[in-house]
Amino acid sequence: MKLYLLRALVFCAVLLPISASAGGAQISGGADGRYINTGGDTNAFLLEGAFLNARKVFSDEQGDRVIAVGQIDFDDNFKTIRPYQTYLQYKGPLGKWNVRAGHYILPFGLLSAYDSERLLLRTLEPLSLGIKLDTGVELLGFSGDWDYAISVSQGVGRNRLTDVDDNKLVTGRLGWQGEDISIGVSALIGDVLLEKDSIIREETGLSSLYEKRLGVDITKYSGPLVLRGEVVFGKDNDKTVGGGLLKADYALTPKLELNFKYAYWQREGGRNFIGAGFSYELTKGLFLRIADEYEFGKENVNVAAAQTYFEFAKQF
Amino acid sequence: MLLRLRHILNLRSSFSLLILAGAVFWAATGYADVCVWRDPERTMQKIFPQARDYETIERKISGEKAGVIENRLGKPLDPGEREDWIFYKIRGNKGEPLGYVLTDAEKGEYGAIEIVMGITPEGKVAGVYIQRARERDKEFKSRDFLDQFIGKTKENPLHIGKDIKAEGSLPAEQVSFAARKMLIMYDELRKEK
Repeated sequence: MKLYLLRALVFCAVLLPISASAGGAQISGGADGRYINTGGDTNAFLLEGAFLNARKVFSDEQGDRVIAVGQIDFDDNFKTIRPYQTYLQYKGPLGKWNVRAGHYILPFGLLSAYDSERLLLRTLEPLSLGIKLDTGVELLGFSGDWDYAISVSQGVGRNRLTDVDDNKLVTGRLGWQGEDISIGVSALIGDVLLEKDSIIREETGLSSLYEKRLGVDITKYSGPLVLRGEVVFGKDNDKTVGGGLLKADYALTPKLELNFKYAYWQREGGRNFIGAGFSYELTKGLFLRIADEYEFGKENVNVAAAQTYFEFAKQF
Repeated sequence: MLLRLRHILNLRSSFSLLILAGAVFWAATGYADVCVWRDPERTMQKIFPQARDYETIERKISGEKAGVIENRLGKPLDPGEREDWIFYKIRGNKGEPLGYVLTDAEKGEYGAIEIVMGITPEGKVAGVYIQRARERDKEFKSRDFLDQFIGKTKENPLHIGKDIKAEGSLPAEQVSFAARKMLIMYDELRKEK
């Protein structure tokens, strides 16, 4: 699809929730500026991303029925304009079942409830899945303490809206939620078309993969400490891959949080990542984050980063 | 026309910057809480077990109304609370109103304490739940503490040591304050248009 037509489509999708009905919509947005030092000698200042999100709920006489969400991201110093989550969701009674159609985050592992896109210490999906957002149809909901989600999508990733290869990707998660803990089991199978900037594409030299994945994720809240863990293993074509992640966030005060991460991933040799940092809320909605992440094993690379992140939301 | 569209959308940087500048200006004119109510339906069903569905209701708050609420509350509202208020109307199997669910976030020692409260159509507290909190203290999350709010109305002071028993920790104080705030908000805003 022509780039300018794709952009027009994205703008229309984002504006849909606002224009479809007067009132009751929420607009939110943010900006993510970073200084990154790689290996001690390469420095970069960039606007990593800015985004605008619109959300609108449509109700009938029984209750909320349709939720429209549109988000556009301006990434890499505005060089990339692309859709983020942009979908229509039909909500069944009390949300016990929902059908979502559009461009959404895949229901796999920690991703289903924890989006680390705008954090310095990220989760495992760039290495473990190579796909995060995709266009398709998803059935999701809950029953008692259990929740479920199953998605059939195009496997073409976040930068494409059309199915360029006619292959499909099936993703699903079954979760259990206790008072301070949630546990999930996930699976993914199908063809994934890798993005140009994909880490997996860089490692393997392949532009697409037939992926099979199984994952287990856990999130535990214990006072000021939040622990998140994930174990993922499977196959890329016929090659066995696997690894895991452990993240810990510890609140020292309402504004200051310490962050730690360890991740391991085995594909073309083992890669280890160990990171630490902090997040400080300067004023409402404005955060300063500093983190250092060291990779060792297959390669030895240190990345230090400082980030200012601003977010807002407004009803109208 | 396509050429014109192409020209417009290819003015990437200037157009994008314009959008961002507009968004920042807009953000500066008002601020709603960037707060996601996680698992709303689960909590609704805990408070109203007969709930079949819910409707999101949004009320705009005028400056004058904000003043009235602050006067009754005895404290200023947070910046994100002065412009609008969202709550949820809960319906039963035949569409009949069972009550309302309100949410609030108050500052604890280690971050926000997110509180969910149900109110009957008569204005009585139907139940209080802590959705998320990172406090060391555990008393404020216990059913013994939270169930004391059931049946209370806007006429009750909801003060620790008066009509609510607790050791007086900051989280318990904040939950009591939030319950009082939500009852007053409900009273002032349920019929506003």
